[in-house]
Amino acid sequence: MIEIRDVSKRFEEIQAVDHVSINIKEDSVFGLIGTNGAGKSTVLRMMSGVIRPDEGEILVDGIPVFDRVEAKERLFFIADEPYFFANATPEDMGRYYNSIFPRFNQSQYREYLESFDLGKRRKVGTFSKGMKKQLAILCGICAGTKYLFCDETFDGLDPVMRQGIKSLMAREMDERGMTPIIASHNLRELEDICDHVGLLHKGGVLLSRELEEMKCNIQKVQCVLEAGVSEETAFQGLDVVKSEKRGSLYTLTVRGSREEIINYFGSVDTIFFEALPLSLEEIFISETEVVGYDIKKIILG
Amino acid sequence: MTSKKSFLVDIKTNARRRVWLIVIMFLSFFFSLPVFTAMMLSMEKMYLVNYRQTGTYLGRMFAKHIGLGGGKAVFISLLAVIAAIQGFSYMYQRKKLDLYMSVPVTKGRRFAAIYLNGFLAFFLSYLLNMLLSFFVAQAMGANVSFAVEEAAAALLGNTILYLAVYHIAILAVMLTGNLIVTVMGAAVLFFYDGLLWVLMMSYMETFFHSFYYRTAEQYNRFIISPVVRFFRFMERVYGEEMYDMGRTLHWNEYFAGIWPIILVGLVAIAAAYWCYTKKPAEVCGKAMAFPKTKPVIKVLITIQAGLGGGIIFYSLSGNSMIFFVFGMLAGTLLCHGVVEVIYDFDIRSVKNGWKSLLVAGACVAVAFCLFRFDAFGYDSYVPDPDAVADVAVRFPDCYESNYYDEDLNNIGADDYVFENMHITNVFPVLELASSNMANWERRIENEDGETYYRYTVIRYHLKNGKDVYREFPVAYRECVSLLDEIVSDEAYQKGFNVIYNEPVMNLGSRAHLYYDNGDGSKAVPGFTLEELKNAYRKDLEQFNFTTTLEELVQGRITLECMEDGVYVHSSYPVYPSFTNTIALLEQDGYYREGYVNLDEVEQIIVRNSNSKIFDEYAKQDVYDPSMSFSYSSFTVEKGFDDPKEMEEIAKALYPDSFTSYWLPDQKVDNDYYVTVIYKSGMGREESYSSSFYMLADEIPDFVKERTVYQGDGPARVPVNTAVPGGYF
Repeated sequence: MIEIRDVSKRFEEIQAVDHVSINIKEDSVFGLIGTNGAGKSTVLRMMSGVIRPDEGEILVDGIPVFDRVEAKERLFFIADEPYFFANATPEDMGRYYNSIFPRFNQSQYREYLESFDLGKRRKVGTFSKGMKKQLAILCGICAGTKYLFCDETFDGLDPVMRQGIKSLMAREMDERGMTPIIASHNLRELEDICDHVGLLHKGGVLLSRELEEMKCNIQKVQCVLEAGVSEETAFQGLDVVKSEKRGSLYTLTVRGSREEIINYFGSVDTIFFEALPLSLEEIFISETEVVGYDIKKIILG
Repeated sequence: MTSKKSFLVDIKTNARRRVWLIVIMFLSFFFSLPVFTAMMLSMEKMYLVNYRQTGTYLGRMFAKHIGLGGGKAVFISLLAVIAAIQGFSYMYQRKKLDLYMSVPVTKGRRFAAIYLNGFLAFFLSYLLNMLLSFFVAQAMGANVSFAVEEAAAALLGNTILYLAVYHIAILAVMLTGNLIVTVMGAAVLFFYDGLLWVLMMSYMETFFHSFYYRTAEQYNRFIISPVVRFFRFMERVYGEEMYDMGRTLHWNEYFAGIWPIILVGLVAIAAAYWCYTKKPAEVCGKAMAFPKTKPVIKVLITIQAGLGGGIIFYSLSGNSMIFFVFGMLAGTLLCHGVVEVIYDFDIRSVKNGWKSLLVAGACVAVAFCLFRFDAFGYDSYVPDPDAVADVAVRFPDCYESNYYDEDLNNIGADDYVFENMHITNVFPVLELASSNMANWERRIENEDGETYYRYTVIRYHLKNGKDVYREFPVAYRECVSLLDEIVSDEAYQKGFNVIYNEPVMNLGSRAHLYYDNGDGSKAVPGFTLEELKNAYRKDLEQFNFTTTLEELVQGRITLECMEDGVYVHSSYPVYPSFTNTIALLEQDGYYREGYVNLDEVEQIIVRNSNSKIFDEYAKQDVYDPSMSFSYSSFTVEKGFDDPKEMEEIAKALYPDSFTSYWLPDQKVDNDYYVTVIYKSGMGREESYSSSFYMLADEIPDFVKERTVYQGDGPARVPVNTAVPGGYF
């Protein structure tokens, strides 16, 4: 398990991460989502031991991560812009990681290079952005580490490759219990694969939950009230996160389980009622709107 | 078998990524050592005539090439800077840092691997190519045994230099966040203290009248820059023979001189490693790694720029104090602004940091005032007699002989006198200093308005081991008794006069003695060097400063030795009171009073430059930049061949060649330059002549009358066609 305990990081005047606490369990896919500048990359870099937190601590399987080989042997960090040595080929990179990571699987690496059609003797500098991302992921997967940290890793991959990589990750999770921690803006991408989601905003954690639990605890409700029923009366027993009205159609984002909400609306006079699950993107928008991150405000002022 | 995680693997992995550095190192040494050795020896063999000596000669030549040298030191320092920056350049880029810092390698191990690689790339390339050079030299016929000692000294010394520079460059990388600032930071670390000393010396020279610059070592002994230190070290190791073939390597000086460089290197690497462990990853790309160091470094650089600006503007403006202040202000403001811009990479930051600007400005102002108003009493310093072990005194604008060390190498008067003169009767010297240190403030003139002073340099050797130097003008007419006491001191004579220089006196029959009366003739007296030494030393016992005021040099004994690579030339003036020396000369009938034998003279030509008339005319003249007039326009030349007139003139002559000896000011009138032309067939060359000046008080009136300028002023000539010499 990775424990992030009350971690803060400041870059001069900017509070990049502000007292963040998250626990990341093993054998699951953790999605780290957040607004721009929320501190996702900073959290990942601190989790990888690249930067040291100003406050708090980060433990990887109980070991502090900063400058500790025992902790770092358990993780592989794929940065948003992965670095490859000047003039290096995939073969060189494999040789390097092989010398660093005790469980690096060279044969698997060569096999994957072939499967993904990445020339092992071709200079990485001549690769496209997507190919470099593929190579970085292959290095990460073959490193044999328990945790794989991916910062915007799926950006730049075409849909087929994305699927391929996801399959590889799934296989690694099945076979050896690899735990990917993926930071991304692409919530649809994460929705497919994440078990657990941590939502960061302005350096702090808005929520950290199982994705299913998160989805189950927030619903989108569309309804038309009968004439004479006021919305204050109709919705007073609900935890409404967001409410919109177009004509007589109300669209509400409401906290609570589907059953609770259906039961509640059973006692409200409605002409039409429907409870729909929210996508991760909709949850993200709703939750961040609550704390004032509203696109309408940003655009319209 | 090597473990996958062994340190050796780390080194090999790191080396793979630094191949170009290894290639540069190897090729640099390959071309500068074996290839250059082959070319150099090949060229030398072409010019060698005595083939029996070839092996020795080539061996010595190879030894000098393979040994320590200034060019190699600079080149090795550059390689060290490149290796340091290249090795740790991953710290400049976030994506590189993300990789390096996230992989399971401890910071310490990564540092060690990179550090060691940078060292091994140098050391192995150097060692291998040095060995190759030996093979090449041997194959080309050089006796390489001459070079073993030099090679060992160079390998050790250059490795220490490389490490010291390498460590400082690593420290620069650790203190900064990007390449450009690293290079600038390295320059600051390498040259800050050196420049500070240069500035300090410039300020001392500008503001302290009594400042005396003797040697760089006197002032730069605290300089930590390993490159500058290394040059000092090489000078110690080889002394005067530094650039000579077959030079002698002094190992005691070697080990005494190398330790400061080792010490600097050790301190630098300790500081560099500490900074490395503390350097946060997020500073990559930024100017400085540690925010707290920013104002300190900014202030330190700004102070130097402010002080430097002042002195530069002062010298460029013809010593204007207004420009001095302007230069300090400009230097301080500009430098502070530039550093702010570099810190933030933003031109708008030029106005930031007013507090540090104030601090730096205040420091510059205080430093300026300390020097300008001599806050520490530098110009009035006279040590307490109890604190002085001995003193040495030099009069640099009076005659000083050629001086020689124990190996008969020619050395400077400073080195000889301050090394050999140890006057323990310090009171007259301290009194001389006390009464004359303030002479800068007053005009020293006699009743005719003529100045009379002599620049004097004193070295106080204090009991605490420190040497302190001061220079000031001595109003010698006011301190004759003090000067008599100093000059007649045996310790003074031993440190000043070459007659006490034993290596020269031990030349024995290898030395050839000559005597001349000042008319250019050269006689070979019959006495030996030993006889001269004894007689002359005895005469010096009676010699004092008054002798130089009251007597004129009557002749000169010259000692010469030119054999076996030894060249010694020294001379010994003979005063009329030197009875013992004169007695020796009289044995052969060489000594005579007066400088010219009129029986041999055909004509005397007097050339009066009429400088006083020139000065008067120049004062009245209206400056016209397009026109000028020649100094020589006032010169009047007159020939005299009447025997009576020549006899009168001869009484007033003083040999040009003796004017370098101590003479009271205005004793000789430099306006009257005299050429004596000798008759042919008198044992001299055809049309032989000799040069004289005239003694001011003895110039016959008829000479004055006939050579005075009587024109209406010189013809004006355009500046670009003026004849050479003495333009106004």
